[in-house]
Amino acid sequence: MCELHRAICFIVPPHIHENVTRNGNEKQKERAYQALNVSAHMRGQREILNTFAVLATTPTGTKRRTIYNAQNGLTLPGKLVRGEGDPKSNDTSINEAYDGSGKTYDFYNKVFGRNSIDDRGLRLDSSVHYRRNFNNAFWNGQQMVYGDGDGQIFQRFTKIIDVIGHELTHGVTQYEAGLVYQDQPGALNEHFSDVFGSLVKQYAKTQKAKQADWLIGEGIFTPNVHGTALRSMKAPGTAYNDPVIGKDPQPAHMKDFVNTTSDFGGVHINSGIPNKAFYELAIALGGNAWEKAGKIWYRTLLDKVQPNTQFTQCAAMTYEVAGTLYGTGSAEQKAVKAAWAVVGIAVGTTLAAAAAGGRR
Amino acid sequence: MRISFERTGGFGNVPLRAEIDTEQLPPDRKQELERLIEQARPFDQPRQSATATPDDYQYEVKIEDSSGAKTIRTTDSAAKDELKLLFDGLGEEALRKLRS
Ligand SMILES: [Zn+2]
Ligand SMILES: [Zn+2]
Repeated sequence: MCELHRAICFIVPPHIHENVTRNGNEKQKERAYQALNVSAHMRGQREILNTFAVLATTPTGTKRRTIYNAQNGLTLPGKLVRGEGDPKSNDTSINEAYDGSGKTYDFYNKVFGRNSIDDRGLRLDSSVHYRRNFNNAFWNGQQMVYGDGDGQIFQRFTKIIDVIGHELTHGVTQYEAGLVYQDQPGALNEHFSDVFGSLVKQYAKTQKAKQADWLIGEGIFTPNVHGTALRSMKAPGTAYNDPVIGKDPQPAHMKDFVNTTSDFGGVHINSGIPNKAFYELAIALGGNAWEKAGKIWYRTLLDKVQPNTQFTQCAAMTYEVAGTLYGTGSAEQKAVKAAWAVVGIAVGTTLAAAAAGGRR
Repeated sequence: MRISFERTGGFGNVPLRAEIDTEQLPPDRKQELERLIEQARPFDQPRQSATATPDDYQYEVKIEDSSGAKTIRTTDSAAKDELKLLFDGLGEEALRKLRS
């Protein structure tokens, strides 16, 4: 991205507007939503001039996907290759990005009544074939970006539906909670992406919590690697163990919390702790995980989580939301408390309630 | 030239760490890395932006030659294109080393 473009794209820090959208009056809210939309739409110099026209004319409540081909280069988004309703491409990655973002849109829309990443019909943009042998997929604040993998460790990232759900959820989190991508708030950002990424997969496969594999990135490794997936929500730390790339470093309990400066303070490491708690809750409640556990987490992300929320606070928030949704002292609320206890986090005590205070 | 390379983060957060001595490399790969370094001017970077983006890579790279040693810490998204190409080249070399 050029320097000029960067300056324009990040002129409006999402967190500031997020707070206004939550707490401001109606007029402030409308302005903040527009600013969020503007920054999210600005992804190419040519588009900037059209931004306001786009905002004015785009109907909301419909799925709009756009796939670009970065053609192994560094420039984003790249060449436009497939828009909403366009026929299939003969390029597998393009079709996977299109289908995967569609399934993610459908999950959020049918389960939570949400209209895209911003709940205002934001177009879902994805670029495939980014760089050469690129072993990553990411959300850059405006769009999803997928590498092809190097073929030695990783296969292409579009292949895995929960990877796509994970990346899109980073967009949802950006708009709803603005969780800072560092340390515990960053690990919670990762956690919400793993939760809803897994739920997108379970929903697409119509699986009960009990039937699901609770793996993130299952099948992303080449056969060279000793491992089934990148992460396991059911058993954090067990997804892979390989002589070349090492062992899955995720803890499953607060006593094993990893203090590190790498990976933005271990955001993909310590997310194992809340991931395990969510798994425990989903299993305890039974049925489809998105119906109750997913709903509690979704409402928590929308109504409670703040940019600097810590693990203990997040746990208390889910407990409070479960009480609101299902009743104080309900079986659901008790299950939330029990699930967090499994990973060493106490909720429903005066102490935890106080820790979560200051933002009602 | 001796290079200590660390890449963490990314969706998979599979850390990649290796010590690369360009003198030990075949001439073509040594030349390629030196070209990438010259092009990227890694120590001539503006300060990294404060905001990390989700699933970004995080790099810590130390480069040591006869004139001394310097370390650069940055995210992938904050790096200019020439630096991204250097990171890709170093990552490839690091992975080759790990697998050998
Ligand atoms: Zn630009
Ligand atoms: Zn992520």
